Amino acid sequence: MDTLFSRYRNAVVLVAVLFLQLLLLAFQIKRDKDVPLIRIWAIGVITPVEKLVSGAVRGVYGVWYDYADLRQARQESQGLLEEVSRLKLERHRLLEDAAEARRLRALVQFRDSTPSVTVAARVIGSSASETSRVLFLDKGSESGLRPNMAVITAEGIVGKVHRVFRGTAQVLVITDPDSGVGALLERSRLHGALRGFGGFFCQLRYIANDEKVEPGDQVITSGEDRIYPKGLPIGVVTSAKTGAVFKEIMVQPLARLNRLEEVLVVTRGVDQEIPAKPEPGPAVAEAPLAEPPPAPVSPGAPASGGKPVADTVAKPKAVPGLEGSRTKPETDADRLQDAYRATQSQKSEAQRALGGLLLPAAGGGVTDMARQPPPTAAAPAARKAPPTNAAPGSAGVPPAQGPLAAPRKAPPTSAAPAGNTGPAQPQSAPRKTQPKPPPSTTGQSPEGAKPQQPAQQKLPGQPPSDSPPPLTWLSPHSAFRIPHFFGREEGR
Amino acid sequence: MKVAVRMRSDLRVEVHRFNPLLVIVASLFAILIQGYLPMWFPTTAALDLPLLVTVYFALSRRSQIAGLLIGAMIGLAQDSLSHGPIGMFGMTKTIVGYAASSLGVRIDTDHASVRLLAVFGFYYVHTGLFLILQHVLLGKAIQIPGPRSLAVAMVHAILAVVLFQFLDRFRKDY
Repeated sequence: MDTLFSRYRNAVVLVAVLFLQLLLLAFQIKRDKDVPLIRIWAIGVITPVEKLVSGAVRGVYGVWYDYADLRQARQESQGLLEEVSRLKLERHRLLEDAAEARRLRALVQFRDSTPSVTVAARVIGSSASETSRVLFLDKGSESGLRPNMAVITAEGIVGKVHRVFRGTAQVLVITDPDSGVGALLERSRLHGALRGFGGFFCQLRYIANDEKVEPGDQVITSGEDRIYPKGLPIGVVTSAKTGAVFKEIMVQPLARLNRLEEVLVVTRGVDQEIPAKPEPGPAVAEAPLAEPPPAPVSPGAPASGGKPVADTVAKPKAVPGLEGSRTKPETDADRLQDAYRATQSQKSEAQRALGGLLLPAAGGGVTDMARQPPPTAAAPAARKAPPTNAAPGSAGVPPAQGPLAAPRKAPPTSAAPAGNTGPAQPQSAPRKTQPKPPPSTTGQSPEGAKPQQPAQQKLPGQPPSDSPPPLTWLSPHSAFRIPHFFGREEGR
Repeated sequence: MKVAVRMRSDLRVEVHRFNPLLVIVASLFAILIQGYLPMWFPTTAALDLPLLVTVYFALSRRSQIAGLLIGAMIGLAQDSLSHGPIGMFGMTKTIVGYAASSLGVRIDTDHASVRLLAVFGFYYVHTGLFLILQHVLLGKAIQIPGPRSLAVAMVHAILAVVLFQFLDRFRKDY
């Protein structure tokens, strides 16, 4: 037996072990019961080790994961920093774009609102010299720019085109000492010439010392220079001092000349409406009432804005004892004035019948900047007439035609800047003593008198160039000073 | 530990003894890894590391009783951690341990290619026995292994070569 067992010991053990397991299995299946003891032993042995291993694995994994997290966080931080930098740049660019869009929108609105034909241009540079205030635009002759075109912004005028190249243009800023603008004080209607003063200021010249000019007065273009359309804002009076002969008036331009980025170049200027005079000027109030109004001497251009003269051009208040109270003419000037009014009334009725197409007064506001200046022979003659300050015809309007020639010789006749200033209203009273203009470059026609603009499109109400201009009252101020001022400009 | 060198006809078989603690630790480690790996790598669920440990110790000990007992213990532990009735893996691995020990007595199993073929064959022996027992004792249908089992068997064989080489470091040769 021992021999048999020892001989088949392995097989017996195998069978025994298998039999035991089979019994165990049969017990579980037969009774449908588990053997909890074995499981408990096995789990009791296995699970502590599992916990240990699990903890170790989790620890190692956690350390590795944290390390990986740190590395990933560092990389993510670097990526975020780069993204923040990129977003900052993008935000800056977007802010610049938005600011540019706002500026361009304002410029477009201004362009749409102004009757002049303009070309938008971008300022690409400025002068390299402190003494020369010029700008360079990114538009040139290819875009239709020509010298002596006005350059403006929504805030005010900037300057004029000085030199034109193929793809760029040089603009002489109004603050340049060699620049000049025909200017008009909006409140008092005093005409003057605006000179660049260097820096950021201009000087309004040729305003008599006895005129009342206060800081804060608005200065607008008068259109007499035939460069800048009438009615554009120029600047604000910052100081006004009494000088030797004329006032020393400093004007701060409204356009931000040191921060210009986009401008409009007026390729075809159209005069704009000038706001009505807010209050009677001191000149009117101080005028001697006994004197009759000056006789009309020179015709003026039609009024601006396509509205009747009475609506567009500021009309001085009627001075008691002059127009309103006079019932019949007493002097030659009165008779001429009545004749002028009758003629103008008849002309207005006739043109209303024609549909207003040729109504110079009602359709005014269009300054024919391209019109050739008429012979100005009458202007020196008028200036030579002792008490008469005749218009030089700087706006290309014949200064003496028809019934205007005679009154110019009449003793207390004041002359208005003829041309694109519109039919000036009769001055309330003749000035006391008009100072003589400085004897500098007289005799030269103003720079604006040169043909600078292309032929202007005929607008409704624009008077034909060959038709006699309407009658107008002449201003006693600009008749002598405009040729002087713009005569210097012409030589440049 | 005693040296057991037995000569049978022309074959001189070398018997290896192991520290019993190493056997227990290796068996537990195999069971633990078997339970853990599928948590992170689901494809490793097809591996049967306790089988490899059983075959290794059975082949190395060249003792059929030791082999079947190691197989029975590892199988029962594996059964205890499973949801099925206790005894299925126990009986299967008992037979595999006995067979591996019987093979180890007859041939030299230290060579890698022998181990490769032996594990490859024992994988199918183990799978076949398990399916048969499951069908006979539990009445479950036999699912004939597909081509995938061939790859799994090869993976077992390759892994066994590496694992056996590692465990050889802990054996004591006589």
